[in-house]
Amino acid sequence: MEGEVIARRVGVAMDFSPCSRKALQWAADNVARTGDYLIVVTAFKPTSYDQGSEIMLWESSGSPYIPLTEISEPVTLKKYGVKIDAETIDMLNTIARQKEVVVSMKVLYGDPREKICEAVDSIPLSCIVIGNRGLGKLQRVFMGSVSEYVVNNASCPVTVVKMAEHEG
Amino acid sequence: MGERNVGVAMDFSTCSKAALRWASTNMVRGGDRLVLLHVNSSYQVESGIVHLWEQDGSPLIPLNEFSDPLIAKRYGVSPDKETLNILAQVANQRQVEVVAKVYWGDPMKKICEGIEKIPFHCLIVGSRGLSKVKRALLGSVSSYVVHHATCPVTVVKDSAF
Repeated sequence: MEGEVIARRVGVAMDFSPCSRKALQWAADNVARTGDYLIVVTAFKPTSYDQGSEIMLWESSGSPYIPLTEISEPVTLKKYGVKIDAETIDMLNTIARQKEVVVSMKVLYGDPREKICEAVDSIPLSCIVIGNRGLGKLQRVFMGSVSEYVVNNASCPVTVVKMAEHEG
Repeated sequence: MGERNVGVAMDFSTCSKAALRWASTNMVRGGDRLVLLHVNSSYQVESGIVHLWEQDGSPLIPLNEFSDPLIAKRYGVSPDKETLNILAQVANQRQVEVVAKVYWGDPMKKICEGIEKIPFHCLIVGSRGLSKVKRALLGSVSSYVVHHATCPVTVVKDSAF
């Protein structure tokens, strides 16, 4: 059937919260197929503290695709202003190995809502997986504002992975 | 990886079929059971058969039965050729078991109920259905299901496929 052999660009939106890790694992176990590109998409608004760092180079276009080897290096954090936790790095390495997918990351600067949807079109992504809750301070009832926005506005299929209150 | 029940909510709208197509090419894999989920929202409790299944829905209907117009009619469904073709392709090519489940009642509630009872490992829905009312971005049923479902839900937009 169509699409069976074609390598897809499967996106996972992450803010490195427990829920976004759950989304990553779910995408790896249920969507990703051998040969696919698994692209972690992360977006944040640079603060004034970030100004003057290298981020200014990438601010408008977003980072280049950061390969797995670089994601695992601490130097990357400084360069792109991303704080990735050790657990996520471990997961990405295991996923790359076990599922035989090419893992990379794209960092975007600005409002996560808009930037993730833009990335869907510019990469472009075949589909995107996102957790229902993130690190946001305001705990909405069912879904965080970013996942809500992405489900409604992204042009590709969006999978929302739920995390219950007691989980994580 | 284990067997999965992959659910696709179907109201036979264009968007619903796009969701089915996406699920069949991107989600379903060997060993899965594809469950086409249809909810009859407007019905009259005429026959004894419907009355029997009102609470828990129909049994899981094998594809060959679902494809027979006479049998399908008994369940209050008239699946179109396009849908049946997609389902047949999935069943043939991928060693996937294809079944249908019909519920009677409120689509929002019944879909979420189905998720727990069947149970579904994941569910794919179209962003819009047959409703003539053009809500902002997501139809009322899809919106409800995304928010309340206990399993991962994939929303497929018509233009996406």
